Amino acid sequence: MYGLLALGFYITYAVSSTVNFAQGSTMMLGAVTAFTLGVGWNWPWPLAIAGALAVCAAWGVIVERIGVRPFARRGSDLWLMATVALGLVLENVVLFTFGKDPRGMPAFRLMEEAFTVGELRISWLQILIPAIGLAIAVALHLVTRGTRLGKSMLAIVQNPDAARLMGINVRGAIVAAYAISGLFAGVAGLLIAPLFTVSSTMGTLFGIKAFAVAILGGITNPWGVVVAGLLYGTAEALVTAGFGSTYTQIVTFSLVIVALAFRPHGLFGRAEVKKV
Amino acid sequence: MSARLLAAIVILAAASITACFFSDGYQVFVIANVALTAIVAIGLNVLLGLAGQISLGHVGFYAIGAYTCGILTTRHEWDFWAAFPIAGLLAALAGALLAMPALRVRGPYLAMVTIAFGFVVEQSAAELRDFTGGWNGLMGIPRPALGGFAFEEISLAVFAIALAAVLLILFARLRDSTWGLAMRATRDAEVASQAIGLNLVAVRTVAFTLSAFLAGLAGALFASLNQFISPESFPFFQSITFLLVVLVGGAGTVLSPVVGSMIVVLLPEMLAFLAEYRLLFFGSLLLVVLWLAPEGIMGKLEPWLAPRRGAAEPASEAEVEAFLRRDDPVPLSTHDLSIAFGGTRAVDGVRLTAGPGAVTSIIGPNGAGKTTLLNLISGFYKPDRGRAQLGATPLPRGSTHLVARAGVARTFQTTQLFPRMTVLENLLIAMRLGRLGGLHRALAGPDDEARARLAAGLLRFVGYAGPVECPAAALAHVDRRLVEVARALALGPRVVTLDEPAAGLNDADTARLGELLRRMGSLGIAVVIIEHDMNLVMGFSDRVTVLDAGRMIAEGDPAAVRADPGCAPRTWAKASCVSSAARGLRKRRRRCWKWRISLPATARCRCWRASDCASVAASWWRCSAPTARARPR
Repeated sequence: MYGLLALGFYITYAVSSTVNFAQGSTMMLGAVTAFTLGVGWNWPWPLAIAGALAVCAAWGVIVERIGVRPFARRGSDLWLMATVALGLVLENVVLFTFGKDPRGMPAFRLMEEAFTVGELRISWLQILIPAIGLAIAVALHLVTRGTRLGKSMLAIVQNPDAARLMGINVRGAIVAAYAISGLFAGVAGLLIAPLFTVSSTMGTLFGIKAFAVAILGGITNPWGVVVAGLLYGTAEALVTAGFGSTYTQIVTFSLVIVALAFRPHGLFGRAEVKKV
Repeated sequence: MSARLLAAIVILAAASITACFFSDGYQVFVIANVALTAIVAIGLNVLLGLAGQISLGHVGFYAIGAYTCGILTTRHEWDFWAAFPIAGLLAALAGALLAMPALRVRGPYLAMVTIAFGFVVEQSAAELRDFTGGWNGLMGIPRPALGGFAFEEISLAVFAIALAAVLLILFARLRDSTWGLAMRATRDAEVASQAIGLNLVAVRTVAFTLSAFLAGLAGALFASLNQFISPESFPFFQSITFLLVVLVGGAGTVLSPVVGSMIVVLLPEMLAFLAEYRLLFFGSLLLVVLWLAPEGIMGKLEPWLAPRRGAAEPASEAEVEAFLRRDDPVPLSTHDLSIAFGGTRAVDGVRLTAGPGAVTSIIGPNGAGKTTLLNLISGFYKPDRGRAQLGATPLPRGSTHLVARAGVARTFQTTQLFPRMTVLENLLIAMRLGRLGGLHRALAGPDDEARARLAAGLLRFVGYAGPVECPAAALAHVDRRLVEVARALALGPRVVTLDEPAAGLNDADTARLGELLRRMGSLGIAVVIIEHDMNLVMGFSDRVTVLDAGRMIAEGDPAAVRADPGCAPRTWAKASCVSSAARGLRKRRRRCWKWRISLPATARCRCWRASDCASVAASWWRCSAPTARARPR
């Protein structure tokens, strides 16, 4: 789950060295839109889901256009604050249109069914989440290796100026990366909605945790990000089981600080050779 | 600090104190909050504006200060005035500790470390119930008293305003002091700041600590003002508010914390009907400011408030030469210096000697390891084998700022000035040679008159005729080169190494540069240059060393090297060929080699990477330039 959201950070960072810091609110947008379309307006579910994903991708494009591009062009780091600001705006708009009260997402029957392995009760949804995460990671891998779009993205990652000179549409690729990033967040939002409640503030903490995962994985390494997502989820579960849920955040965030102190480029990231 | 700026601070403080006496209880509370936010923001401005490090977890320090004060005064019944400094110090300690991981990371990684810190503090406050009262918080925190005078809301507000004003003045002093210059240097160009002897770790740790200290003080005041604190007083969002304050005001400017906190705290209060839309308002305000005035409001106004002082009278030529002259000249030498990157031996057993009072040139094709050699000498890389020494003393390995302090200055292939500092400031900080003195002296005000004169003299010495009070970013290419040389000289070095100083200069400028190098040599400095410009190398150096594929292939005075058959361009090309990574391709390379003889244009050398071909072509072209044509082929 974290891995999925974190992959959204990875893909924009890889292409443009920027991220939508408020990825969590994009995720919230996905869940809220799906809820509104599906429950509020009684759209059939497949259509509602598709609509929610489209909205998320569009929001990704908007963030890139007004929150990132004006600053990246000047070479400033202010995109970080700008995307945070956009996240705040989005959360508030949703707060006023959707309302303050958290609502439960109706789950599909398939998802509610559960089976037991030994003493563990596992629902299909709990299987579905990592499965979709892994599937998306594999798809991402295949796309970057196999298609022209993917290859041009790889070229941009390595040298954007040269890529631009070679006729690759760098700006277009960055927009695409943000759209995909928004899409991932939307998928994450849809998957998580049945587990928790849908509200305007559901995304914030998730977004931050996902960012922690992306950073831990070494934000330039997709497989590192996925593995870090698994590690982080496991660590959280272990801490909760060992010390009680109250200490979860203290311990996991402390671990993040310690991990970065010893591996400044993330657990699986590679240090860039500095040139003078 | 200019009189106008001081007047502005005093007027602002007086106006807000007056406002306190004409306000009702709630308004006083709001004004006090503005002052507290300003104090935190002054601290954050040290970190963000001067040292260029972002923190998204400053609320953590604020909370540590507040809880320290709250716990000490309620549970241990300490006096507020005893708890107040302790609160600051504890926060400062946390800042110093957090600086350790934060210094190793940058960009989004740094943001993550600070966010995580903020969360850990907030959650700890909620979970350590025995100390902090958990989510219920601490109640009944007493107000301070001094003598018989009990502080009320209004007197606390006045105290906070006065404190903020004093801190603003101290900030203005800090900014122009050695420490302020050092922080700005590390912000502008990390690598170059180390090359002038600044200890990056020390400078940034001090910035973090100072910043946390102020946040802790403000937190303690907040606890006492509010009389109640709980983890909900210190949400993640508060950190963003602090950042917003500094950015809206304009990071790095003196008044930004005040202006920013007035806007960010007061405006939503004034627009009370907007209460529900507060976050929306914040978000939009931040976006608008970021779009329209990325340097903040005060970034636009402050140049008017703090006019630049007039340039100091430059020191005379004799004084400059007396400063630069080395009476106990020592040579720079390297012994068996080697480093490999992956399988490539970039520098391989180089024994270089650069005598004092002489100009030593290092030449060779691109990729020969020239710059790597300089990086090894100046400590950017740690050699796998061998050492560099100055006279008989070995230079510290892999520690740039210590090498610089030992007397080895350098310039860079692409000039690395501190772009947002003035030309004069670029030199002033270099002159300190990394010795910044105590913080208390930094806060007492600058004492740079003599140094400013010397700096102006040095600029004249290198032939820079432009203004000294303009930002280095505004300089033309030639001037950047010259100022960079002047900055290297400002270290009072025994050795100056210059990486392609003539790149991008025209013939007249290059000739002047050559003369300058000679003059530097005549003062007893060992001058080492890397250069492709054969006019400069053959015309002005005393010794020439030829590197290829990491090895020294010739050494001697210019005439001898020119006559050395080993240095014909063919040999260079061949050596590069052999040094290429894949050894199995040697046969094809030989064929290639034949082609190159018959076809100087290397377009058909299929077995070389494009960059190899380009470098061979370039060296061939340079060696056929008029001066070098006399050499035997």
